[in-house]
Amino acid sequence: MGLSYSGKLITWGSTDDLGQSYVTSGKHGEIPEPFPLPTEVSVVKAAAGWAHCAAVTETAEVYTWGWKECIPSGKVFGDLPMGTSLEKDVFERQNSLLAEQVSPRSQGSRSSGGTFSAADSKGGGEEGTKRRRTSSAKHSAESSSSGDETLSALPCLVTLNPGVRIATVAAGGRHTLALSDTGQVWGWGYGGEGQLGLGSRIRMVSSPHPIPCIEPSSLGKDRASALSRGSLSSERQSFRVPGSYVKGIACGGRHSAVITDAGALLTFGWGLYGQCGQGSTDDELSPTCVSALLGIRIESVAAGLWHTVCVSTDGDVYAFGGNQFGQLGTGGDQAETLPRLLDAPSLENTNVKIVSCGARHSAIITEDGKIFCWGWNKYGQLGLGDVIDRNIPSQVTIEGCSPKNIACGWWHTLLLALSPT
Amino acid sequence: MSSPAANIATSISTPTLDSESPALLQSITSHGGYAFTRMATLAAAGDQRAAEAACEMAWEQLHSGPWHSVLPVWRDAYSMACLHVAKFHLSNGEFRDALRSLDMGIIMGGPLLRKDLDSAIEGVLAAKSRHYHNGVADNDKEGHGEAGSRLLVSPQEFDKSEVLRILPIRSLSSKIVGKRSALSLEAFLCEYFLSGSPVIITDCMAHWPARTRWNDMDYLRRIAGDRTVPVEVGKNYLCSEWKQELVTFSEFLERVQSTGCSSKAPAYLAQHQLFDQINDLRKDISIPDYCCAGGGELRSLNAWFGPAGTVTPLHHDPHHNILAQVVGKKYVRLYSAKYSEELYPYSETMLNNSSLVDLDNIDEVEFPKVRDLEFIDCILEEGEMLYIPPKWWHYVRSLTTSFSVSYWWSTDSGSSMVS
Repeated sequence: MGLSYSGKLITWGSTDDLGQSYVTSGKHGEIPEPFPLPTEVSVVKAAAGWAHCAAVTETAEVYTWGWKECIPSGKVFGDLPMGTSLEKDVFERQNSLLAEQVSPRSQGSRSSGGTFSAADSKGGGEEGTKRRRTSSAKHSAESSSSGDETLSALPCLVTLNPGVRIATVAAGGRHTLALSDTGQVWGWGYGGEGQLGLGSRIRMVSSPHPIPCIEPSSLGKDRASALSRGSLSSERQSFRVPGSYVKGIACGGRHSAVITDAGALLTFGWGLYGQCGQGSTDDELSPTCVSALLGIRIESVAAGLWHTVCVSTDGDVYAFGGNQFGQLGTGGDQAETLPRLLDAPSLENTNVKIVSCGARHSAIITEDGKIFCWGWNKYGQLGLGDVIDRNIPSQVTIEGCSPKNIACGWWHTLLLALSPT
Repeated sequence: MSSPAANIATSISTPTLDSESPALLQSITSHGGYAFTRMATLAAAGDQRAAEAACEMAWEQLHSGPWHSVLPVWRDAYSMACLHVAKFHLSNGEFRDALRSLDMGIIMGGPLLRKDLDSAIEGVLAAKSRHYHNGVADNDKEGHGEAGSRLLVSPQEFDKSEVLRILPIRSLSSKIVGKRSALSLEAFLCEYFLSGSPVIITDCMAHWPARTRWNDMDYLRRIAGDRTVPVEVGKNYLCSEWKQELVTFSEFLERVQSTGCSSKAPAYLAQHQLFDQINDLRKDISIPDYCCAGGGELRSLNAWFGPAGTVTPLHHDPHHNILAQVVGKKYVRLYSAKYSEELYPYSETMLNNSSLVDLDNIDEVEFPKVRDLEFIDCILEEGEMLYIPPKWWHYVRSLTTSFSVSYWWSTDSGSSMVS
């Protein structure tokens, strides 16, 4: 489902066999084609979770569709014009770098070292920036999916507070995060393990709620001390989290991670495998600074079903959480409850720029254009030409292309690359 | 030569799956399982890779969050995928793989398709036995077909003086649990059940086929060798290193035999409803008449099978319990239900029936009250049953390789007391 404009698209892994991105979006097509949103406006960011998708338009609105549980109450476009024959949508082809600039982020802090923005999340396939024109189309025209239409939600325009403009989205196993252009994080969906960061185990949040990430306000303190582990949490919150706004977000299966403009990493949600990086296997009910990384400026973060991987401005990679399939890249299969620097020889003298996590695998691109993957490989999602799991970063060599972005789907991986001129 | 058998073996009937599939798939789809539904549909149409992918997807969902929060529909989805995968293995003549898939479905799956899984197991076992009777050699059997049966526990394995050095301090030095031979149900009721007193009942399981069969490694291997069972690995369930693994019964038997010789942590098949899973083993035992005392209802039959040295730390259960010692010997220590604070229970809800006290290494500074606390204990011998009243604290250590069965039952008053 990821498409490029002047570059070429290389896909591998399970997309052909399992059609992850299509079925996730409620479609079953084997051939990539535009997903019909009820608006003509361009999509600038998109992300796919386990069974739902979210997209940000040029006008800073959010549409989401797929598994009903993940879709907030809002304006639903359920009765699209019927009888319209499915129009073959045409992609407006244009320079990808230009497209990137279509929606300048007010904070502007996400672009990494002059290269283009990283993918937002494990976004199933609809990579970062893509411009497309959609026309009203009849959903049920999709082959073999008619029976599912009532079981999955049609695209829904997420109702946000007046004036809130969303810059990017992240989708997880059962929840969604959205980041506004002022650096405020909003969340909705399932929150049973604290992944919505609201200080509770609220099971379902059906409209976007602001997640207090950086809060000098007394409101935040009250909230923290209301927790059952109150004293501990308030203690943790009592020092000021470095930064004044959030610049990056990621959703894992049942946990979340955000980065502040000062490069602090905060995590919240399910912690059984150590995926919150707090040195324990407890759930974190509020955004909690990964104190082991204080002093290191974190530039980007990605999260999988049980693990989290982040990259510093110096280009170092840190991983923590579940490691059953080698998805941490540490060379073993032991879970890590604290961030562990990946010091594999293959990463020496390279600066990592982009990171993405699938359910049980991880992928990075370095400044000098190398691609490394590791973790679960049962369906070839590491792109190494076999189906053997790797527990260390393993280089993917593709002749004659210049990698620009990488995005792991749940069980697959997409690479955006420029072809040689 | 083997073609007639192969023909017989190619299918298993799954009436519940056939009738419930559409509704189950619809429910799975409504819970976001679009990809699973697609794979399961392809699997039903004959795509083996899709069946395996469906199984992988459902497995992932079972592990996608805290165990209690997994949507129940995924357990049934997992059973469904296991049935599909097993059908393909069976049609390829891969009997062991088929059994493994079905057992995984039984162990981790939901209740909806349980009957289909059970009958599919019977079908695969029958197909397998027909197949090998048709002159095809079973490699596994050949490898272990030496003359003379191998005993699980050899009589000279036990050394009492050695045992006293291993047991917790003060063991066998005070009151010993009383023994009654062939106790009548009425006497059991009046003298023990109603007053809540432990007793060892002897001579009431001599007729069980299990008494001889379960000490025969080859019998166990033949009956259950290819079946997959969950085992506990590590010192005991309160230790951080403790984990559960799924292994075949044959692999488990090898590990039991090699315990002590290898550096591997002991594996213990503990508190598993083995007899619901493996029907042939269920046929080797009976339910003691005592388990209907109080007009109660049998809650569960559990197997406890492992090498010498397995320990179940001091804890109590809410039910009446008869522990039947089929093979080997166990040391059991009992503290009365009236003790609670003296035994320092864990404060977490999950473990509040377990004591913080490690009887093998008592920290007398931290737990001063336990030192002089009265208890009764015993060595439970082969062929004996121990009655443990509800809420009585018990510590159990196997002294030899040991295979026991526990019967839990509760009476109405008992269960309301518990809940």
